[in-house]
Amino acid sequence: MLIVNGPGLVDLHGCESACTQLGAQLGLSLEFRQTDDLQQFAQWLTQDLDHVDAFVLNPHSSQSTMDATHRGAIEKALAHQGPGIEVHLTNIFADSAASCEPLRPTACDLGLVCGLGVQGYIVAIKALHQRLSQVEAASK
Amino acid sequence: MSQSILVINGPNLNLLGTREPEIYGDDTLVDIEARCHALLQKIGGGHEVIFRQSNHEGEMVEWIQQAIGTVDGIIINAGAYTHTSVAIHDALRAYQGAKIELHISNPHLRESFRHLSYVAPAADAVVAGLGVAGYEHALEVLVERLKEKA
Repeated sequence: MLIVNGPGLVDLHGCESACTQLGAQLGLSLEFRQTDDLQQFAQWLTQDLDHVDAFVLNPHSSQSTMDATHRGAIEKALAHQGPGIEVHLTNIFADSAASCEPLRPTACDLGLVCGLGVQGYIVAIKALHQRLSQVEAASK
Repeated sequence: MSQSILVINGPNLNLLGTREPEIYGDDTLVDIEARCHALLQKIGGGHEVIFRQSNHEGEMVEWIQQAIGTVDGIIINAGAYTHTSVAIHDALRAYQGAKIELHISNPHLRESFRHLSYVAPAADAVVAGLGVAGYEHALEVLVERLKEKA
């Protein structure tokens, strides 16, 4: 499972250790990445989503805004991918200057969890793990 | 301290299991409710979850009003009223407890008339697109948050 974080998400309040710990508990091979460069962010998705079973992405902190070019590149990389979950620490729909639009990739199996802080990552990992376990059980 | 959580389901969710199963899955609301009760049993601590469903906007508004001061947290899947109901938005604003908006599918990946939610800005958090399992995930995280606050 790949967890990718965009600009401004450097100080994730022990988020990485919480995710890694949960991953170990669930027996998941989990990689946690962060970049301040949205181009790099989109590139990771383009290159690496084919090689993972599931992904969690937080495209940017609530303070930063994403221009149409970066949004387009990210949504293109996500097209026909999944399962994945878009996570935001804050409620991106709250009436504040920091609100933003969720991603809308084509034919992507993408969930959305926002406003739960670091717990949002935990929920996302658990939900994806459960999905993957069910798929595995069904294929046996 | 044990927590009480109200799960409010809006229009057409009584058809769950039969209505467009490719989007919403095969589980009925009764199946989901049973799993939520089982989850709380597992967590322990005497937490309580009450499931309700209505096809009527006003009834949903009344349930939210009755929850003020009596229920610790609300999980609301307002169904299609999500995209139309200012009345539900206002009732949720008046409710001071913890509140999570829930959707089985991710409305932002569907028709554009589902992209606007009147519930989301009045809620603390949104959980969408996790399938029917989203109910259990939302319930678990809500109980955890309420316990931390208590």
